[in-house]
Amino acid sequence: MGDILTFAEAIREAQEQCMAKDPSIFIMGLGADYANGCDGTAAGLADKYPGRVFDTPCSEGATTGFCTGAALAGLRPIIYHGRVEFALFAFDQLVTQAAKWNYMFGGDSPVPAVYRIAVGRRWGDAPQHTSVLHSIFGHVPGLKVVIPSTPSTAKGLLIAAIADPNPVVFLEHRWLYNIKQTVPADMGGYPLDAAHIRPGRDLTLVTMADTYFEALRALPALKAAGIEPEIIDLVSLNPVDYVTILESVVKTGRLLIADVGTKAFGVGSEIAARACENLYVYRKLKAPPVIVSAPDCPCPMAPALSEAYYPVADTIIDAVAKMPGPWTKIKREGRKDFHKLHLPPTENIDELEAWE
Amino acid sequence: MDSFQYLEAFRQMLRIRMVEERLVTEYLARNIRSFVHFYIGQEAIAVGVCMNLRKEDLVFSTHRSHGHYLAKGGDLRRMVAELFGKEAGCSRGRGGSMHLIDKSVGFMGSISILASVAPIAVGAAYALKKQGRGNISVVFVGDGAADEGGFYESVNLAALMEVPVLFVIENNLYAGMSPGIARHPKIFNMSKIASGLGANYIKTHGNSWPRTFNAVHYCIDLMEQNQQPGVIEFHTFRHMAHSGPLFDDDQGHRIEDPLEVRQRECPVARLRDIILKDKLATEQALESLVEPIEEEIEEALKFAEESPHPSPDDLLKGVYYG
Repeated sequence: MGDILTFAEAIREAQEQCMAKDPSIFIMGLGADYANGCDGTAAGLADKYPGRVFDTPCSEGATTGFCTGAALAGLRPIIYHGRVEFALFAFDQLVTQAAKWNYMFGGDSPVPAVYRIAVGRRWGDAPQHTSVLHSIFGHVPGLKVVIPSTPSTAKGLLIAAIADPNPVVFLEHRWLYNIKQTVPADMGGYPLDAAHIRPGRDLTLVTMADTYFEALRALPALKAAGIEPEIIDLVSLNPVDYVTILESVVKTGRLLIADVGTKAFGVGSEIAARACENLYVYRKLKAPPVIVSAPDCPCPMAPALSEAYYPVADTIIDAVAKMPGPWTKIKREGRKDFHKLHLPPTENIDELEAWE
Repeated sequence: MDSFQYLEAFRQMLRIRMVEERLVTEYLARNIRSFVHFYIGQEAIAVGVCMNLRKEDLVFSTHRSHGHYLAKGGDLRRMVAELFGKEAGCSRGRGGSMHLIDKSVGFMGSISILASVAPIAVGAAYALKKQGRGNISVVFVGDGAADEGGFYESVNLAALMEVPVLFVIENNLYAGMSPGIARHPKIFNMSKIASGLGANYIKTHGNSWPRTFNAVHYCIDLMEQNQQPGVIEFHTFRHMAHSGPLFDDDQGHRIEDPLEVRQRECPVARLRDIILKDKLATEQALESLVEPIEEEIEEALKFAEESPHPSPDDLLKGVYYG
């Protein structure tokens, strides 16, 4: 059994439990040892594990390389970057150093480090604090990249990421930090390469991070219109679990990808291409794959604009309605108030997933 | 220091020099298809640093790393095989000249993006400290790498964390072909910067082995005393061009250090002169060092030539560990 934890608490618990078992694990990041360190995901850990949770200079490149070096010399580092835009300072360290290290030195040089990077929307955060940029990380051979959507997945994936001998980029969608779920207290790691599937019939709906949450929000309206989507929580961006996705597409004949970032050269485009590239899957398609995503522009601050920016439940509903299928009208949620659209949700995922 | 150390230093520097001169021939014969940066002219630094280290001390380096790898005790045969792109190479042919590794002697890897290696060495030093091993981490960078922000971030981080890391700047005056005067204002002062960040800073002549050896010895003592990192800046000359078996004197930028100046300051010749002048060894004793090295090099070349190429079937292996 376990307690009902928020997404942030689940991440905290994963670290707390792993650190108890393995003294070589440490956490570093700006403000990591504050009372509410790392957006609450390290709260209390500095007191519990003295000297193993520490603050850093604003030197994202150096602190990230520091983790790689510590991993090479036998420790298991976790670094937290509170905004992906700051993690870009460390892009060389992630993409050119950590990712290539094992390959370019002949395959016997593991880098067991976890690079936690917070991504995504939060109200008022404007263009430079709201990027996701997940597809860029998925593009890089040598990195494992996961993007959890629920508290349980976050905990299970982080446990596995810490244990993995490879560099793992752990993308945390900040908007999800307050969603809740019953999380097993004693659990092992989840596979870093396996998508999660909620079975359905009429279309394959591939989601990730907050679009999984939005897909669950769209579920009642879709079901009311007689549509049973098979919802896939992508989980991993490198490698992508194409077997699960393509098997589902073969079954449903329709593919809708709800991407969490902008569209160009994105995860949605990649998955759509793979479905069309495979002749067997292609012939099973009853309609062209559809991608919903944020538009190809920076995320604006003004609420009046940002409410048109995020892909939300209604964006998914509209896209399904437009797909050729045996359905007619689907009732939209309609315009939301500021609170519902912009403030982080606190719903219990178990309740949303159980909706029939 | 006794005469044995001088003789050993000379042997190691001569060996590095002879290996690289032989590699020039192999490069021109197109047996080496790896991008190569020759270390010729800077040997007193690698040997002066590494003769101060224990096997368990860790060394990181950049693209011009043949000398560092060999001075730390890296396997010559596997280095040559690496340059030949062979499976028996130290990086199984995946890395080439810029990516040497021999973890069995603490040579942790060389990379080609300049200062990017600096924080990695700092992190390794942190691990050494946490593990209570009493060893240090050393990172070789060039003066070009010391232009990059990552270098300064790393010295600051090392001083803040009080970790045992020694930054060795080999200032050969050029980053690629860009001279220091094109890259820094006239008042540029690395001493103030490094000291200001909290590091023990030493600047000295990099072509004199007694000076390089003693500077490192002194700096490591200071580091132990005050728990602060070390930054040593060695002034030296790169005999050849930035990369390849070429000279760059025709490019018009070598005004104060033409080839004759660089060769006059040759560290191998200088050490030979000291040894003979102080009668630390006879000319004959120095000459007798040559043949075993020649044999070792020929044996390494034969090993590399006869080793198999990696199989294209293994192209994707090693992207992930395990």
